[in-house]
Amino acid sequence: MSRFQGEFIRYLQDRAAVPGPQKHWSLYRDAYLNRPALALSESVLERVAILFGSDFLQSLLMEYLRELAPQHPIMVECLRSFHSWLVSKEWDRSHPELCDLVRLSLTRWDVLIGPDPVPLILSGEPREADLRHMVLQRNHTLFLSQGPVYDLWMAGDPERNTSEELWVGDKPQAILIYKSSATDLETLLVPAGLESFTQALSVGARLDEAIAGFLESSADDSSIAILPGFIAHLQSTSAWEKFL
Amino acid sequence: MKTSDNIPFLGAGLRPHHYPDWKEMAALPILEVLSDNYLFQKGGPGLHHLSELAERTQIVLHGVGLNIGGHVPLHADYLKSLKDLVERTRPLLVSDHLCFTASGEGQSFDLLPIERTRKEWKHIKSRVHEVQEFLDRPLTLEYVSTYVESDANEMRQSEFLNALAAETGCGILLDVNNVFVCAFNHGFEAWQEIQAIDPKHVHQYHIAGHAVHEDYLHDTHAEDIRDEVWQLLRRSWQTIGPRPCIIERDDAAPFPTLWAELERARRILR
Repeated sequence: MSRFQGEFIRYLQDRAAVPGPQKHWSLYRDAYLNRPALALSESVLERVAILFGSDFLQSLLMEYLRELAPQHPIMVECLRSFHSWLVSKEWDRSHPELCDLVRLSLTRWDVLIGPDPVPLILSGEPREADLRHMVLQRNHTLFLSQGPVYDLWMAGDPERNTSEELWVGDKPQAILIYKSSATDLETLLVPAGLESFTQALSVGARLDEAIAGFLESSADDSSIAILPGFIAHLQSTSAWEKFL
Repeated sequence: MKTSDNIPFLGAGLRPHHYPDWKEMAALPILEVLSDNYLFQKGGPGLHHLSELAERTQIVLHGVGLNIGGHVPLHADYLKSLKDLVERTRPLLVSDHLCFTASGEGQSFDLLPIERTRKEWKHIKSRVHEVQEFLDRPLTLEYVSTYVESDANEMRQSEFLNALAAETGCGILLDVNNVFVCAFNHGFEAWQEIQAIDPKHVHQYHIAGHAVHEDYLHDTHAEDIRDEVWQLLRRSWQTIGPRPCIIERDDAAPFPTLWAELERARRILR
């Protein structure tokens, strides 16, 4: 162990005196928290920064990194405890939407850098018999929230026309996240009433099994009516993994 | 459609906002990849675009998180992931920096200066061997910008790197901007320092911009390259010889700005 290096890092963490008499040690100390806070707020947590303010998010990240010193050489990996840290500070009570968006941002990142989908070659509409063999891509996440997380996610879109009014509801929302190609991430709102159907797909049910289970449940007419459109959307965005 | 006009040895840092620009070019220069931005990934746009570009041009991998100067064990998963990336891209060179980035106290995302003592040299030498054995190829280590120097230093960076290269077979990444920045910050002569570097160990050049402050220079990669640094590169090129030379630019500069710097490099190094 190098005493110099230990003292240097402790100085960066404000836990030790400046290690030497020269003037510019503070350049390193200033960058220690600022650099990752800025980089993360401009990348993985971009929409959180848009909705809650970049300065606010960066100060929150700096507080987090000050308390839980980064240990992983890859910056984004240091965010792994950010959500639980927020919960430990009771941000989930005062700002549940902030916690939701942080968790969603990391979930999307994990799906994005996960295995790419294997392209399926389908000609035309799948026959009914084909449905038996369709399962959801393994690299997906069904994101469940107690709040309007999808509406918030859309509100934070950096390319959104901010002159257009946006409705953020107050109902719980579920989002299905998967990749339609190596470069395209789908963040799909699960229509209200189709959560249990999507949940069944998410745990590995074939499409025909999920449909049968859904119809046997107490699904109401309006949910049944929107099911074909939802399945068509999954189809058009390459949500399926197997088609044997 | 732009072409690189066949610039031998010349290249630029690959940044995600420039993927479309590079991909539409008929001929590509060498592209340097910030390897840390592609590690611990199984798929996604980064690896997708990188794999496509690696089919068309030579890649050099450049990392920041190896922690070659650190005293905690080398991060095994980091090394494994780096090796996977090496196999995926078949790079011309694999480099990182002569610095430390982590101690037992935590990780920094900055390039922190080491103590350039005989004792540290032996320690880093063994770590270079360890990395090279694991990757089964030479490592190249960059001359870094520093803003403070340990009072315990016994060697200049040039001397430290020469000895490491001679002993381990690793290469030296001569960042002429970093030498310029260090020379100003620590009061020595940049060209003298470059002349002290053994040409046979130089595997690659970097050139970049820096910010000028009242009493120090800051290596930001976010400004245009200064004339004095271009001149330093030209002299190095003439003295040491041609090597892969990468222009680093880490701000959100549009592609034409980066391209203009590549064109300038081509004129200067012709």
